[in-house]
Amino acid sequence: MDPILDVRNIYTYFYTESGIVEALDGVSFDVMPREPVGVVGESGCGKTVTAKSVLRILDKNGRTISGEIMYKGADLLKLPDLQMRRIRGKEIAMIFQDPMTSLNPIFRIEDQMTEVISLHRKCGKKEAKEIAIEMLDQVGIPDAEKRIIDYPHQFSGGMRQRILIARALSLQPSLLIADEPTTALDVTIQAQVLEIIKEMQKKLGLAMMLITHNLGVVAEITKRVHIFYGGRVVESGPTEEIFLNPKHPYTFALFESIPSLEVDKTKLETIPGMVPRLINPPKGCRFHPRCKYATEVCSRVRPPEIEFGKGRRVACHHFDELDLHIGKDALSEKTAQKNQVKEEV
Amino acid sequence: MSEIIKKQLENFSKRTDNYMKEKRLPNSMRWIGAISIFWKHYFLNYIVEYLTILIGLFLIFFFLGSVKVRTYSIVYAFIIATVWIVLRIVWKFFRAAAKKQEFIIAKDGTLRERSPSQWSLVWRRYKKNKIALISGAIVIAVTIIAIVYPILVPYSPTGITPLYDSWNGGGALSNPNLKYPGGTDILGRDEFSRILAGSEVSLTVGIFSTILSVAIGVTLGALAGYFRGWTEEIIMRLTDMFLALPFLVIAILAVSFIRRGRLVFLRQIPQSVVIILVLGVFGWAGLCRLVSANTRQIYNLDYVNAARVLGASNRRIIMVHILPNILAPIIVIGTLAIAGGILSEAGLTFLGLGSPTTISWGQMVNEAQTVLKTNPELALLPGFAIFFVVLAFNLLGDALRDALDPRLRE
Repeated sequence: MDPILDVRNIYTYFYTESGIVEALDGVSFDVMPREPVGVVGESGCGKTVTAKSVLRILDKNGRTISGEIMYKGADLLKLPDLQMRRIRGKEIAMIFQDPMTSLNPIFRIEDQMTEVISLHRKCGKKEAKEIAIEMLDQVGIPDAEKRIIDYPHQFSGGMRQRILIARALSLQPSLLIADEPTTALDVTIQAQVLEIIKEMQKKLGLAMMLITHNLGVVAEITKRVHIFYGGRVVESGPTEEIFLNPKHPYTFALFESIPSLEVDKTKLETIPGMVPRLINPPKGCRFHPRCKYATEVCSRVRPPEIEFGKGRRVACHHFDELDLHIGKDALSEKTAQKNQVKEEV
Repeated sequence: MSEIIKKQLENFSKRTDNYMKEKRLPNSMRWIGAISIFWKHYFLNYIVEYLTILIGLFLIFFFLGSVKVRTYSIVYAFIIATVWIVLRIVWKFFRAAAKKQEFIIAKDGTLRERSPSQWSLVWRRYKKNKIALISGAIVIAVTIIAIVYPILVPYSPTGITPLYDSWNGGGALSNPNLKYPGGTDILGRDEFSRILAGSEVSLTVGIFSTILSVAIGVTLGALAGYFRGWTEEIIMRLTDMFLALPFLVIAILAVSFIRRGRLVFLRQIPQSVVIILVLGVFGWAGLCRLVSANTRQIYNLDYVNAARVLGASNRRIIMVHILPNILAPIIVIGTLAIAGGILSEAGLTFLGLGSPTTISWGQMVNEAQTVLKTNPELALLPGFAIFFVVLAFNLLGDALRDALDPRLRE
C-alpha cells in the first residue's frame, strides 16, 4: 500500500537575526492511509514545524529549502498556492494546541463552522449549517442546533476543542494533523477529547498524524510512532515494538524517565544535559552530548537511518551493540500505565 | 347545492391538509402571501407617512414661507420627506438587524435566547453613556443641518438683500437683532444664514478627508502588517516620511500650488475637494502605523493560522479575520480624525487659503478680523460653531472608544 503522506528528507530552516535555525534537518517519515501515527519528542524538537511544513503555513522567516512532501502522489512543496489552498482544510485538516485562541472571538460558531464548508464546497447556507450541526452532534456538543449561534467565549476549553475537531472533520479530509490536541486541557477533559478523536478516526477512516509528548496518549491511540530529536527522526516503527524494545538511546532514556507506579522513588529520572540549540547544533549525532553510550564516531559522523525488522528504522551508530532492554519490571509498569490510561478514558 | 359546497369544502380541506403535511404552500400562494405581508408591514406604512410629510410640508412652505421658499416649496418638501423616509427605513432595518432572532426555535420546538452580538453589546454600552448620546445627537443634527440648510436659512447666505434693509436692522455690519439674529457681515450678508451654510463645507471636508485617509491608511497598514518583509519595509519607511512632514507647511504649499500653480487645469478643482485631497493624502500615516501594529498582533494568533489551515486566501484572512478584529480602534481614530479634519479646514481657510466664493467658518473668521473691534460677533459665532462641532466629534470619539473597548475605561 502506498503511503498517503510521504515526507522525504525535508530541510526547514528559520532565518532569524541571531542566525539560521536548522529546525528540520533531513526528516523523513510516512503515514499510511487510515492509519494513526504518533510523532513524539521534546519541546522544540521540530514536531510542530513538521506539521506546518507539510501544510506550508510556516512563519514568514521559515522556509522548507529541500526535500519532497508527497501527498497522494503530488509534491506539496511544488504545488501552486491556489491548489495548496484547496488541499488545506479539504484534504488535510489540522487541530491546534490551544483551543482558547483557535476560534475567532467575534464570530458565532455557526459562521466559523460554515466558513470551511462554503470555502470548499458549492452549497447553500442552509445545507452548510446542517452539515455543521451534524458534525457538532457527532463530537458530542449537546443541543448543537441551539448552541451553534453562540460565541466562542460561551464554551469551555474542552467544548471548543470539540468544535475545532468538528470543524476540521466537516469536509471529511483524508489526513488529520493533530498538534498536541490535549495539552491545553485538564486531565479529565483530555481523556474525553482523546476518545472522540479516536472514535472519529475510526469512523471516518482517517489517516492521522498525532503530535504529542505524552507517551500514554501515543500508546493508547497510534499504531506506529516516529520519535523526533533535535530536528531529526531518531527512531520509527510500530508503537508496541518501540515501547517494548527501543533501539535508540534517546528513546530508551525517554521511557526510563516516565515515573513508575510500582517502584517508590522520590526523584524522577532525567536525561542529562539540555535540548540542543538548533542555531548551532552539535555535529554528528545530535544526541551525542547527552548520550551515555556516545563514542568518537558519534561526534563526527551523522548516523545513517538503518532499517531492520518489521518496518523499523533507527538512526544510531551503535544500535546493534547496545542492549537496551526495558526490564521486566518496567514492562509491567508500562502495562499498568496503559491500563490506567484506559480507566481514565 | 349544499352538497357541492360540501364537496368543495372537503376538497379544500384536503388540499390544505396536504399543504400542512408538506408544510409548504404552492409557489403562487407563497409569493402572494409573502408580497402582501411585506407590503403590509413595510411599504404601506411608509408610503402613507411619506405622503403625509410631503403634503404637510408643502402646505406649510407654501403658505408660511418667503417668496423664494414658496416657488420651490414642492422641491424642498420632496427633499425633506425623502431624507426622512430613507432615514426611517435605514433605522428600521438597523433595528431589525439588531433584534434579529432574539429567540431561535430548535427542531424539537423549544425556544432558546440568542446570545447578543458584539454590535448590540456595543450599542447597549453606548446607550448608558449620557455624554455619548448627547454628542451623537449633536453630530446627527449638524449633519442634517449640513444637508438641508438651503431650506433652513432665513436669507440666502451669499445674497446681499439685508444690505438694502438698513431701516429694519439690516445694512452692512449691523449688530445682532430680531430680524438678523447673527447680525450682518462686512458685505451686508446675513451672518446666521452663513453659519448654517458653513456646516456643509466643514462636514464634507471632515468626513471625506477622513474616508480617504482611513482608506489609504488601513489598506497600507494591513498589507504591511500581513505580508511583512520588504512590503512592510517600503510602506513603513513611506509612513515615516509622511510623519516627518510638517503638516501645515505642506498643506499650505499644496493648496496654493493647486490654486495658483502653473498647472492651470488644477484650478478647476473646487476648493473643498482640494482641501479634502490635501488632508486625506497627508493624514493617513498615524493610522497606518496603528493598523500595521494591530495586524501584526492579530496575525500571530492561532485563529489566523487556523483560517489558513482551512484553506482561506490571504485576502479573505485580512478582510474577514483580521480587519473586523481591529475595527474598534479604526472607528475611534476615524471619528477623532473627522474633528481634526474640520479644524484643519478651518485653519487653512483662516490663513487665507480658501476661496472667497465658498462659505466656510474659517473663512468667515478671517474676514471678520478687520472689524473685530466693532463687530466681535462676526468672529465669535463661526469660532463657536467650529468649537461646538469639533467638541461634539471628540466626545463622540471618546464615547465610542468606551463603548467599543470597555477594558480601557478602568
